[in-house]
Amino acid sequence: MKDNTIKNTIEDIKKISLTPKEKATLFDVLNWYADSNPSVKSPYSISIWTRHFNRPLSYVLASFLIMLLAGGTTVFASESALPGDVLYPVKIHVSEPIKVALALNAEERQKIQVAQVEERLKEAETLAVQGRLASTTASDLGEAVDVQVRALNTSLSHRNKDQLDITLAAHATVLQSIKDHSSNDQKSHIADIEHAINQSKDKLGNNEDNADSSTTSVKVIIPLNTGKNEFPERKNKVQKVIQETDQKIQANIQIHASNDSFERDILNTASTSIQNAQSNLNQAEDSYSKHNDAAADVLINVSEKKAQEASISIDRGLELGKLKNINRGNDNSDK
Amino acid sequence: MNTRVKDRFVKVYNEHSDSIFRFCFLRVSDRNVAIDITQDVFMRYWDSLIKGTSVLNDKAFLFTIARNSIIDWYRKKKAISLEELQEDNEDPEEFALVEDNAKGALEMNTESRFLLDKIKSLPHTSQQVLYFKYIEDLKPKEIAQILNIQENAVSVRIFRALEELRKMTGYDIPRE
Repeated sequence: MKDNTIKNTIEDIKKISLTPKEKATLFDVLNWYADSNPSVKSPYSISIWTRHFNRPLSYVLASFLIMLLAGGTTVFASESALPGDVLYPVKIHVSEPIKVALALNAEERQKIQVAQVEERLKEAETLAVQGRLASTTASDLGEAVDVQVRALNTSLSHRNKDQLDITLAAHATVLQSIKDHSSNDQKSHIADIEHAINQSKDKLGNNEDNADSSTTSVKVIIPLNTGKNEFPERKNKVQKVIQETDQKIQANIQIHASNDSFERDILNTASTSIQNAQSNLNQAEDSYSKHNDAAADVLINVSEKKAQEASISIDRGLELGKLKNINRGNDNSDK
Repeated sequence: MNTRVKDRFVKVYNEHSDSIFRFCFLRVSDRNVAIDITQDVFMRYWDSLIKGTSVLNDKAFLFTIARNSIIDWYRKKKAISLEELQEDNEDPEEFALVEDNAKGALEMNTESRFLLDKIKSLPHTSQQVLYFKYIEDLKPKEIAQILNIQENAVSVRIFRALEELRKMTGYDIPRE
C-alpha cells in the first residue's frame, strides 16, 4: 500500500508534460531558431557584453570572411534573389542571419526580423506577378512566414507587433489584388500565402487577447495612450501620411483607371482606406476637443493603421506594376 | 549547419523536452512561463552545440541550464517586488521541489498528497536530489553535475532525505 503510494506519487508528477500541440509549436520555434541562428536573443542574457560574447563567434567571423573573400558582391547580389535563384540560399542562410546577428539591441533585431517576414511576402508577390509562384515555393514561403511570426510573437515589443500587423494587412491587400488578376493555378498558390497571413494575424490577435482581455475590441497601435500634449503632434504626423498617400493615389489612379489591373484594384482599395483614415482622424480630433482622450486615442490609432496600410500597399503595388511592365517588355523583345 | 548536430538537437528535444518543461513548471507554477524557459533552455543548448562545447551528458546539461534559468527568473521576479525581497529571504538557488501554486496541477489521491507534503517539508536541497533521482531517474554523478556538488555529497543527501522521510511518514522506504 505504502509502496504503491510512493510509486503513485512519482507517476502523478511524471504525468506533467507538454501537450502535443505545445511540443510541436515549441519545436517549430526552435527549428526556426536553429536555422536562422543566432537570431533570437535569450531573455536571460545579462548584458550587451554577455550577449555579444554568447554569440557563436566563429559563425559571425565566417560570415565576414565570406563577405571579404567575395568582396561582398555575392552577399549583396543575393539581396534581390528569389526562391529558385542560385543566390537565394546565400540570402536566406548568410545575408539575413548576418543582419540579425549584427543588430545592436532587441528592438532593432525584431525590426529586422519583421522586415524579413515582409521580404518573404514580397518574394511571393514578385513571383506571382511573374506567373511563376510554384506550389512548393508558396508552401515554403507560407511556412516561413508562419514560423517566423510564431517565434517572434512572444517577444515582440508593442511597436514591432503593430508594425508586423500593418505589414501583414497591407500585403494581404496586395496579394488579393494580384490573385484576382492571375491564372487559376497561381490563384491557388497565392491562397496558400494568404492562409499563412491569416494564421499569423490570428496569432498576433490571440496574443493581444491573452495579454489583456479587458482591452477594447479595436486593435490599438503605436503608441499606446497618447499623452494629452502629444495628440496635436501625432495628429499632424498621421495627417501627413494621409496626404502623401492620397497624392500618390491621385497621381496614379487616372493612369490605371481604364486598365483592368491589380494596380487599379490596389489603388481603389487604398483610396477607400485613406478616406476612412481621414474620417477616423476627424472623429479623433472631435473627441479630443471634447476632452474624451480615450476615444481620441483609439480613433487616431485606427486612422494611423489604415493610412500606413494604404501607403505600404500602394508603394508595393506600383513597384510590382513596374516590374510587370519590364517583364512584358523583355518578353516582347525576345519575340 | 552540420546535419549531425541538428539531428542530435532534434533527438534530444524529443527525448527530454517534457522533463525540462515539468522541472520548470513545478517551480514557476505558470505553464506559459515554463514553456518560455524550456524554449530558452533549448536555444542555449543549440548555441552550445554549434559553438562546439563538449556536452558529455545532454540530460544533465539541459537540467543545469534549466536550473540556472529558473534561478534567474526568481531573481528577476524578486527584483520587481521590493516587498517580496524584504519578506522572503529564501535563497533562489534552493527552490522547492513543487511550488505551492503548482500543486493544483497534480491529480493525486490523499495519500500521495500527504507524501508530497512531507517531502516538501524537507530542506530544499534534499527535495532537489530526490526529484532528480526518483522523478527524472538521474544517477548521483549526473545530479552532482547539475547541482555543482561532489557525487558523494549527493549520495549523502539522498540517504539523509530518505531517513527523514521514513521518520515522518512511517513508510518502509527501501534503503539505497
